[in-house]
Amino acid sequence: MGFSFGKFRVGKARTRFEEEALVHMDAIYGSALYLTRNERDAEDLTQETFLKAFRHFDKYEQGTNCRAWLFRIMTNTFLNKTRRPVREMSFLEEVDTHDRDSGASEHSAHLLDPEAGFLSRMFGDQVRQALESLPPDFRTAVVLADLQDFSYKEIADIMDCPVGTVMSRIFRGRRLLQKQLFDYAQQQGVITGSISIESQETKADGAISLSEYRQKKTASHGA
Amino acid sequence: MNCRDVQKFIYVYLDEEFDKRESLEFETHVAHCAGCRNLVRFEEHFRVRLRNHLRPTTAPDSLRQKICGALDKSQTISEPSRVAALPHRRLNYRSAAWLGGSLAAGLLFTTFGGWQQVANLPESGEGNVAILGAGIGGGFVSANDSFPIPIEQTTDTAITTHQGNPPLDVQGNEDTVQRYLSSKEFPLRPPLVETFETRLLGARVVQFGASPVILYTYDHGGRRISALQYMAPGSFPVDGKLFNHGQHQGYNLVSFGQGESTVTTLVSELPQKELQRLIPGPISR
Ligand SMILES: [Zn+2]
Repeated sequence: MGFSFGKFRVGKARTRFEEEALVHMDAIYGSALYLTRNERDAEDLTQETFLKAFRHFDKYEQGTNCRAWLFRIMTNTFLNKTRRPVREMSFLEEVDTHDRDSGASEHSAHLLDPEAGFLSRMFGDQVRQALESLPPDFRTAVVLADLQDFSYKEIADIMDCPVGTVMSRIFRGRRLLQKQLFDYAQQQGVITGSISIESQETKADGAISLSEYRQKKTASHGA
Repeated sequence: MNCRDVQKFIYVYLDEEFDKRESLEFETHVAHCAGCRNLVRFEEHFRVRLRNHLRPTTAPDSLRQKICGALDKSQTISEPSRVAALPHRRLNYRSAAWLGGSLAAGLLFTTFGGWQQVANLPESGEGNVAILGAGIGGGFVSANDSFPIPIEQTTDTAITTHQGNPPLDVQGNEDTVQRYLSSKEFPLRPPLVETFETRLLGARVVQFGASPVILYTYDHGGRRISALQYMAPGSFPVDGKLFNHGQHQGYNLVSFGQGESTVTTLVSELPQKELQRLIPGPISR
């Protein structure tokens, strides 16, 4: 078994790393900024991500999606630090708890503001503020989808969860954003309507299941 | 598809995650339903505005430089195995000298108390975690093994070493330690990732039987972690595997495989979960 720390070999890996991984630094940092909510932590998270990636670059399969691989490292690092260490919750518990805590409604804000006045008054810093107020899992899913444009499947791989969970997180994440933005607009008097989200009917059942829908579909076709 | 499905799957549709037929069903309903049409129009608008407001950022130059500097110092291990040199250090397994050494070391380190507990550990729910069962254990101490340390025996070694907190051969961060180990013909990489809260204090080469084990001492938020790194016995693959030792004598232990053939045992007073989180594992599934 030979082993070499030859300069050539190390140099080659470094060049490859620069070409394949370091080119994604803006994307990683930009997302880290939304996740950690401040520049210092975003820089730390970015640095930690790339150092981990470099150390494990031998595990990265060349030609596969390096950007997704880096996001997987970053997301895991971030969520491991953020998640409450008290007790692992199953996904369904998690969704329930978030729902109770946040009042996430299944209804779109367009019921509250049919004129959608607040949409035309959505400002960058409010969007950022609203996004930063989301629970970490929802925030991460929304950032991966809406900032980084990853597919649901890619997000599921990155966040290490089923696609159905990704759907729920994106759904509830975006709806929570709407609620926040609606509240801001209301505070600023953009919207004068008096309907409060609490008076709306809240969700009847839990997670979004596309496979359930597909199964139902298949069953009814068969009948 | 009914109004409720449209509500539920609106983003699946807008994010283009539906297959062709599902999209068609969705659109057919929406074409005939004014309420859903309003919803789709609104959500489409919202999604576009949201995406427009989430602007990409450029990483500051200072950060880029900092990371490049750190990479210069860090060594990547891109080729076969980072521990391939260890077997060269191995003494003849069957030699009398080895036996003598082994007995002496055995007195110091080895009791077999850890055995049963390892085999009976409750399974972790995580899919990427493999618990080493008793079945594999049987293959550990064959004379052909390149490194005759059953992982289970390290429980006691690890605890004794951690309690003893022996002086370190070398003090310093990852670079210093790695340079030192290289000079001792161990081209090894410290097992944990150094972060602002996990710092490597130094290392020591400990002899375990005939085989060298590297002891790394880390500080994690003011608490000490001992990490013992050694060659995996036998030829079964260890990479990404977690050998969960649980709690022994008031300490938490966890072992994990890295690369082709190293196993590291962590021992600390840190809670088990926290200890496991330090395993550089997001990539090992
Ligand atoms: Zn409808």
